[in-house]
Amino acid sequence: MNEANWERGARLAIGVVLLILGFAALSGVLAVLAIIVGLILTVTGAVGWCPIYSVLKTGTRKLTGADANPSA
Amino acid sequence: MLVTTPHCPHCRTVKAHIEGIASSVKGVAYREVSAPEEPDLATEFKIKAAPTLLAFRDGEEVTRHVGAASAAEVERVFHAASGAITKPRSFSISAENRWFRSATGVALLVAGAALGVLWLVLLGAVFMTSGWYDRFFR
Repeated sequence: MNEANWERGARLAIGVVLLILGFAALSGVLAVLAIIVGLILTVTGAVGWCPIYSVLKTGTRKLTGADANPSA
Repeated sequence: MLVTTPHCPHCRTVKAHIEGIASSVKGVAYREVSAPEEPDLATEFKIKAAPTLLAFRDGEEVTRHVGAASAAEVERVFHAASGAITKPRSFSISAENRWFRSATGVALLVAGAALGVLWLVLLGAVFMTSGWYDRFFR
């Protein structure tokens, strides 16, 4: 995993909103884009792993950062 | 071996569980490693988050648990190190992952049902399952 918990939450929230917008409010290319981006954000938020971060060898989750947000 | 960091709330919880369990599991040596003080060890064992509890047997890692752990999960790691579990469960979901996957699943299930989009409902079901599957295959 390379995403901090705050980022996972943000990705989930934005992703679900984009999916809803894509299916319910937008049409044409914008709708398709919203659905694709929403899906990517939702999935990467849920699993906590971003392939782009992985390629760039970076991320928002650090050893101390991961500890900073107790979620359990 | 428990890998910790100084300001890690889950580390304190896991250490408390270990103190309650370590004496009851025979033949297991326990060591705590502070990742900032021993960065080489953290790198060698590919530690991504703290706490990480690793079990070794005959010098080989047999299982590990990353993140917050219940007493039962800590006990499972100790039993894996002692050899009481010869084929340790290789999967276990941390509390934070369980929460995130469940939240995603619920959000997609609700959105999919409200919008009438079947594949969103199915995707939600997949995430719900991925957050809890370890409970069904103990």
